[in-house]
Order: sequence, then C-alpha cells, then structure tokens
Amino acid sequence: MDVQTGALLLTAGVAGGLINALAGGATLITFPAMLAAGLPAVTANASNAVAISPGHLIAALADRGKLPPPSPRAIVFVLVALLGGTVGAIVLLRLPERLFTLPVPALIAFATLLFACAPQIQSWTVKHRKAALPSTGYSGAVLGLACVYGGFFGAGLGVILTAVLSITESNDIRAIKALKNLLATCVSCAATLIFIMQGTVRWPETGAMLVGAIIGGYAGGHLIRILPGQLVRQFVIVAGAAMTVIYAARYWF
Amino acid sequence: MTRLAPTTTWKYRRTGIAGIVELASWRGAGPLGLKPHFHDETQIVLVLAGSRTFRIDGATVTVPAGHAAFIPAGMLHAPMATSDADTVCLNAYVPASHSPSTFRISRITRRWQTTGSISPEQILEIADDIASREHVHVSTTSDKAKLSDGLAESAERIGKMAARLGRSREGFTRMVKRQLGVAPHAFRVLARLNLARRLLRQGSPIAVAAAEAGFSDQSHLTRLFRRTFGTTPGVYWRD
Repeated sequence: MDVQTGALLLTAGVAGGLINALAGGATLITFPAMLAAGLPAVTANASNAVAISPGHLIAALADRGKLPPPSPRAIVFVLVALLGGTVGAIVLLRLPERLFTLPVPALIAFATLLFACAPQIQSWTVKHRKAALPSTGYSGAVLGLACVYGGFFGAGLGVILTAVLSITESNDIRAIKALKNLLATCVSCAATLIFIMQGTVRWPETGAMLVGAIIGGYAGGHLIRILPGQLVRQFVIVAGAAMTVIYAARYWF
Repeated sequence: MTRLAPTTTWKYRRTGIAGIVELASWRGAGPLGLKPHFHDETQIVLVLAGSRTFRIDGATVTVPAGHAAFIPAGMLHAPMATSDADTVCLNAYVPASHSPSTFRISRITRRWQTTGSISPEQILEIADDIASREHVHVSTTSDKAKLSDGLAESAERIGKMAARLGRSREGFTRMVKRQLGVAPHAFRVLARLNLARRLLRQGSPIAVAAAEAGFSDQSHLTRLFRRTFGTTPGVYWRD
C-alpha cells in the first residue's frame, strides 16, 4: 500500500466515522474508498465491514442504558441478528467475484434511496403501526431477512432496522434506536468474525481506515452540536448518488 | 505438480502443455517493482500468498492472496514493489485467444488447498472458466489494434509515421500515449522486448535474439529485459 492510498483510506475512515456519528450511511463513502484503493470488490466489502464495525459497537455501548430488559423477545432478536449476519457473510464469500460486482451499483443505489427516504419510511411505519404488536416469530423472520442483507452488504442496515422495529415494537423511539444499535452490532460482529476467519480481510487497508474511523467517530461526538445532522445526511445522499453513477458506468457499461 | 522454490528473480519455465506458453514464479519477500510493459499473451496472475500490486490505467490494483488477475494481451501494466513479507505468485502466459477484454480479478481459493502447489491443468481450468464467462469478442480491429500493429511492425521513423497520418510529431505522440499508454518509441521498445522474449523461448542464442529484435547490443537487451521482465535473458534462456 503506498502513501497516497493510505492517506485516501485514512481520510475516508475519518469521514466515515464522522458520518456514522452524525447521520449514518458511512458505507456509501468508505466502501467506494476501499474499491478505489484497488481491492477486489468482495475483499473491499469485507475489509470495509471490519474497518467500520467499531462505530456500531460504540453507538450500542453509548446507548446501553436505553436497552430493553433481556426479555425472551429481545433474546430471540439478538440470536436472529447473529444468525442473519453469519448467513449474509457466508453468501457473500460463496459468490463468485463477478456475481457480486454486477449488483454493486444497484446495492449502492438501494442504500442511497433508503437514506433519502428515511423520514418518509419512518412516518409511514408510525402510521401503519397496529394496536397489537406482531408475533415474535413474524417479527423475527422480517428482522432475519434484514440482517442477512446487513451481513452481505450492510449499507442502510440502520434505516431498515429502525423501520422494521418501529412497526414491531412499542412506541419509544429511544428504545428502538438502542435496540437497533445492538442488533446492528450483532450483525456486524457475526459478519466480521466470518470475514476474518476466512482470511478475506486485507489488513493494511483495513487498519488505515479503522484508525480514521475511530478518530472520526470520536470527533463526531464533539461536533454533534456544530455540524447539523441534516446537512451531513444530504451530503451522504449526494455522495451515494454519485457513487451509483460512477460504479454503474464502471461495472455495467 | 509444481513446487515453487524461493526466488529473488522471476523464474520462467516452459510447460510443454498446449494452451500455456510459459509459467513464471516468485516465492519470497515481495516482488520488486518492474517497468511498465505488456505481453503478446494473456497473463494470469495467481497469488497464493501475500499480494501483488499493479499500476494499470492510472489506477492502483491490489491482487490479494487467493485471487487470480487477468491481464489481457497488449494491456500496459506496471508491477509495483510490495511490502508483504512472504509472497507466492505464479504467472501463466496463455495465448491471446483466451483473452478477456478487460482486466479482471476472480477468486480461486477453493480450487486448491495446498499453497505453493498447483498443476498446469488447474491453471488451464481457471483460464477456461474465465474465458467461458466472457462474451466472445471476435476481434479487436479497433484503432488501438491498428495503431499498435503499425508501430510494432514497421521500422518507419516516428516523425514520418506522424506525417503520413497528417499529424504533428507531438500530436501523434499524444494520441499514442492516450491509446496505448506509452509514447511511440517506448511502445516500440516493449514490442521488441516481446519479440526478443519469443525468440529466446524458441531457443535463439541471446546475441541473435538481440540483433533480430533490433537492440544495438546484447547488454542493451539484458538491461531492459531485466528491468521489464524481472530476470536476465541468459537465465530466461537457460530455464
């Protein structure tokens, strides 16, 4: 890895850490940075997942006071997240390189749309909440699908989890956010473990981004009063749209 | 089976198997950087341990262990020095008809378990696998192919060639750089190095290969050959 690539990954890591602390959606910046560093797509995806995983963990720890008590329902959800993340990671590693690069532009576009429409999705889910909560089995199945996606690609997992939990859980948004962070951490830990065990992670690149992400995440905690989250969100959406176009041009045409 | 011994230069070897022109292997500390070059054959870079890094088309590309990279015939690439302590790499040169149209990387981890040991049949299998996934592109009768053939096959002076195409020498140089990645003269040198390599492979003595490929003397060929292909013509010829 040369100095230029290292600087790129470190910078992307700082940006990713900041973005995750303020608005979410860092993968839309950091995954393309891993590709730009010259890594093959599957390796880039796995390395990226490892590099930004501490962000989820820190968010979950910061919010641990708001976590629901360990009810059977919560325990089932955690197990589902661990299993979903594992399955998603294994699917990714089983897939030939070409079958992953083909949908990459669509995956980036999908995640960008999720971020752009997050407020609408959120208000829709609140409106459609039923009086009675769905059964644990049904909720777990929907969550499981989301977590498989999370282990596979991961961008926008937070938005999906928040939307699903808003429908399946009771009304406290802080509790939902805390549970979301816990589940995202489980998905990311399970997937990360698989990637590391299978030797898919390129450590020099991952290390550079990891250091950046920790700096960015720490700075983000202090900048939260200065940098408006809305502005960061708009930046992520614009960047995601640009990445969609760039990678569609590269992989499809 | 092919056992790879530790190396400090690239070790070339003919296989005697139809479909693989030759093999080159590296085992040891990360390979040295080499000058930008291309081959008349498609190059398959199989990385078994460590990693390889190339500059291609102005971008850096890393090929981690467990991956194969396909460099189409005629594509300019510059191997870069890597810091990985232990790198095991096998390059296979296969006829250009096997060529994918673009540089690409695929994973090969599951194809063999024992690091450092791979049979030519397995390499062919990987090459066929990639070729079969590709839309068959019949020919590359692009401007690019015409330009490279014109440059490689005639000894016409660059200035004259430019004038014949109705361009200034500078304009012609810019066009060649854009299309082929290097200036006209550098391109010719690379084409002649490929010719010399082919002649040596066929058994020509070094002095004869140097003269036939248009190098002023044997030491000129040796110097460029080593910087470009990572071994000397003498060692290449003996192996």
